[in-house]
Amino acid sequence: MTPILFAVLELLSVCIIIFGNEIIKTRFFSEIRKTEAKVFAVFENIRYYLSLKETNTELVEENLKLREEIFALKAEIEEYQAKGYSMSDSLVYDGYSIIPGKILKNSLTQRINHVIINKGSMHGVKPDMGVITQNGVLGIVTNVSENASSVLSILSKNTGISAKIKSTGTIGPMIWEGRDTKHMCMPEIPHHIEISEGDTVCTSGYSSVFPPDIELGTIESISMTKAGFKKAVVRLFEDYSSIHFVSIVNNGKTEEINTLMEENRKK
Amino acid sequence: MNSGRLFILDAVMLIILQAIIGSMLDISVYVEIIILPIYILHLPMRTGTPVLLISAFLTGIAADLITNDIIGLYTASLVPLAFLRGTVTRLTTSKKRITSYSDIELAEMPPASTVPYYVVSTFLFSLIYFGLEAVFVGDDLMFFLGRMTASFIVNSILTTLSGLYIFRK
Repeated sequence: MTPILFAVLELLSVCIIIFGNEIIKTRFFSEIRKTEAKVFAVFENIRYYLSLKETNTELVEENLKLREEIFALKAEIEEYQAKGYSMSDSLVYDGYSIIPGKILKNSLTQRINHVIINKGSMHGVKPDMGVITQNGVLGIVTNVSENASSVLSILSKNTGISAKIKSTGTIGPMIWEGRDTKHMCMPEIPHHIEISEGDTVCTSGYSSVFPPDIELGTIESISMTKAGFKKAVVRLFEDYSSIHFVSIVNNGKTEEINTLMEENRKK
Repeated sequence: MNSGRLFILDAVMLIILQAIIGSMLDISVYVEIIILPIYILHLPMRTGTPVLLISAFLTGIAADLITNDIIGLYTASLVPLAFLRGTVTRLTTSKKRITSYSDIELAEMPPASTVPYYVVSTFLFSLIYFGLEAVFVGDDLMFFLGRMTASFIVNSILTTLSGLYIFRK
């Protein structure tokens, strides 16, 4: 009884120290997060090592795909140059830079999923930057510490991204219904737009967060909603349970876009 | 302590005195004068450990709210002292004289035999108090050791003198 009373009172006292002093509380939780990141890094390294063969195969395939894209882009650049455009022209410059990253802790089973990545403020990561994967989009950076960041996954309820159906150019929100991690849906396609199963869906580029034309998936089924819109269920290209590497996207034009939007709001 | 005194008044007096010392006496960055352990050390030996623990907790909370920059530090240091008081008493007083705790009254023992009790108790309190402070505030090891040593020397002298001259019958 006495040792238990001692333990309870001492624990209470330590809690008072931590929660009754703002600076100590901040420092305490900062140390907790650092330790958490180190522990997750160890587990992630083990998981990564065990999936090296699969990762290698995916990298070879991606490499081949990228080489094809490079050849196609080179041909396009030569075409532009033949027409008199230069490489510094705004028509051919996207303004996106990439910070490579690795996932420390993944989350797929909650209604709102957060993923921890191994890059933080000292690597140039800021809140509201987009995070993309090999085969799609992961989410948006919400919190940043020195060496790690928290990303709000697109696999979260009430979170949508601006998507485009490639064949028709139709733009609309793509949301996660929370049922499984392989499907999202576009529920607000105007009923007169002709879409088909198998159509590719990509990022629209309408937000300052994600670059345009990143392929997300293909339409698997189409139905009508009660509001009279077409609802397309999209099968995602990315397998979110097995991603290791991500790219944090820094849009060099974000500040410019946000300033313009702010000015428009004020008018 | 005299048996007629109300122990609560003693606690209040010590807390007020601690507040005055804390705000007016600034000897050195390495020396922090803490007299609160005197209250726990001089509660009657027959006091049960649960009562000691609760007294230490309440005294510590009151003192923290009134005097300390780091709320909770006095409490977190006094509670272990109350828990270990019995063990310290057993280790530092002459074993030949003890038949049970209720037989022990500090005021009745030869002064010289009580000095180890005060010194060891003060050392334990200093170790816990300055250790917790160093951990939560982020002090480096040398600063913690310097602060703990200097404060322990001053506080153990104060505690021993108070035991020998103020609280004896």
